[in-house]
Amino acid sequence: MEVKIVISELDLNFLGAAFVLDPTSAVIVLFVVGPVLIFILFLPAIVELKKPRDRGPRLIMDKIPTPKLSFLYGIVPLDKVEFEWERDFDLSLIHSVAAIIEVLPKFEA
Amino acid sequence: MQFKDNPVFAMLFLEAVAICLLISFRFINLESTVNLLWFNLLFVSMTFILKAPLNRKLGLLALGNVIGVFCNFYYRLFHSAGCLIFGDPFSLVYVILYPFFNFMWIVTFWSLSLAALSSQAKRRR
Amino acid sequence: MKKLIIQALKLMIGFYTVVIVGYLFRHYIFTFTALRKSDNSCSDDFEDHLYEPTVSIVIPARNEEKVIGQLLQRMTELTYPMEKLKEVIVINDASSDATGQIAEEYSKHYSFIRVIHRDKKTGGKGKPSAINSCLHLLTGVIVLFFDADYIPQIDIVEKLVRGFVNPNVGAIQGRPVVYNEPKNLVTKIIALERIGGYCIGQKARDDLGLTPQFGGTVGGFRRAFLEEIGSLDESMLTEDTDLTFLARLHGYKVRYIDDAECYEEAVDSWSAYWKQRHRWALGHMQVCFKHGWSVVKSRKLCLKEKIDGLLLLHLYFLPVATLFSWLAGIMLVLFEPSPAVYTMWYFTPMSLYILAANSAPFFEIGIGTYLDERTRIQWLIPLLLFSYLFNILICTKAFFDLLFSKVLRKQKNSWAKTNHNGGENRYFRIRS
Repeated sequence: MEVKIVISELDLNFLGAAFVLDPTSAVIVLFVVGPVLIFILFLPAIVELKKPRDRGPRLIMDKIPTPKLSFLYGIVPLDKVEFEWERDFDLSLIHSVAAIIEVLPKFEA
Repeated sequence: MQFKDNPVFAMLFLEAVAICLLISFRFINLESTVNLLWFNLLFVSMTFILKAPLNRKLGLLALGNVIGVFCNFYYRLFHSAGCLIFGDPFSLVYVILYPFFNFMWIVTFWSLSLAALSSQAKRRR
Repeated sequence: MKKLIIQALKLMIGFYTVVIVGYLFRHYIFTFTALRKSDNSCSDDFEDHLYEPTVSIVIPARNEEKVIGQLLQRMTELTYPMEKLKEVIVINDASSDATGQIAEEYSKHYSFIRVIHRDKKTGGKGKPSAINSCLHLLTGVIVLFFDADYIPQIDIVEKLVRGFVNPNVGAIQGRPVVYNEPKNLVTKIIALERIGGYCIGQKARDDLGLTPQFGGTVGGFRRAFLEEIGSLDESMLTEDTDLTFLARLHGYKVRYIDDAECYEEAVDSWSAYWKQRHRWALGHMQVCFKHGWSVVKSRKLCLKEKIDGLLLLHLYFLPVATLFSWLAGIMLVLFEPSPAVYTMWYFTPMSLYILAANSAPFFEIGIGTYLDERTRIQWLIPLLLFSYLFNILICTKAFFDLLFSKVLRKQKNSWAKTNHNGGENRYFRIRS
């Protein structure tokens, strides 16, 4: 008896107005509109999962070019690994070329 | 004046928020008004400090309130429909599920708003 | 009797409401702090210091043949002065695959890379045990740790060690970035968790003078601190959390460096997610029992650090408390409905989104993605509801596992192995 009274209080809104529905509308509200609303609330997430347009994780890797070694996953002796650059790459050659290039603008002037 | 600078639009959006609060209080229930106030507090505190035109943020706030009114209106209908079909004990199911439903729309709308503001901020950069 | 039970339930749900509101407030402050500080460049206080101490790097590895090669390759490309990089020690902990051979190949060609092999008798007892086996070999002033599946920036050592220019700093944590994020829903959810946890949570804790957590990788300690503690506690499942609080209780500060970034491979299935999070929850709870009272009593921590430290320690108990509070709330609504109960009940589901992703609220994650200049991943935030419900189950199981292990006094430590594939990488180039 006590529970019923409390439930009746819950059923009325603050100013006493109540929503009155016929059974067909009630069924539509409960079993059609409800699931549709929940689907709509999750629709953006579903769209993003199905057709992702997010650019993905931030790029954090090096901007400085470095010699990159090709490496095969698994057991591969380094002797058999293909190198993009000579392993004993001579940086002094680069410095010499840079020194030559540095002089060129002076000729232009 | 452009949309983003126009104070008229700002006033319109604020009025829309006020109307939504009044509608929820008058035609739905006190709980829905409290929910909308909670949404407004969250939205203003977490979104208004982001870098975006004020009118855009106010527009999203107004839109959120409108969606909130519709959602709460539906939940009220849901309650009435459930009580009609399953009887008075359905009210207890409603009381238990109500807070979960409310957070669903708040989080979804806020997340989409943030995505929209992020896109806008990125385009400006 | 019924009245007593109802009073107890009201007390429980009331206490839980206070705790939830407390966490909500804490994370709100974190988010606000991170937003406010985002206008300034990060790590400004590190900018002007050229600090190049000697460094040792430790890489514990067990059955990591698919990924260890790429990490060791990065070790050979580091820009830190080679004369200051004392050693890179790979601990091959009783691996049954080619991890040891791959590490040995690198060791043959690079003198600073050393490999410790542990056999099945001495090894396989967990990461803390593996790390303990190499502590006596470390010669660098700073010791950095990397898990085998991580791929750091080539200048990460410089970025991490500059945090130690302050002699009071004993531990440093960098930022992991999930590189296999686009793979599936699990990796995307984990990426969201990481963004919220690091971009906002860790950063704000650092900015507010609290204690960022060392995450076990992409970070390190002063060797002096490791010598003070002697060895890692091998009974701890989460040695990272244990070390964080030990550092703080020994008077060292813990710092977070946002621009020291490292790619990581997230788990890509719900079963792997369960295993990983179960270990984190169980380990975190162990650390809570171990250090909780010490944090309260410590004279080296100020009040805000104690409060935040306790909140951090109890993090994985929250989902368990959530479950019990929901059950208590439902019973109260059914048998003792009142405005007070309804008000408290209103806050209870808030935990769904406040503690959504590894205990970061949805707004923390959302603002984290905003600061990360992401524009679409926010659409997935509502799905965190499901990961949180999953986490409730995980943490509840971990809680009961811990209780039973304490009652039965049974604990066997071994590697809680996460399998890594080394695939799904399109953000850096290593030819295969």
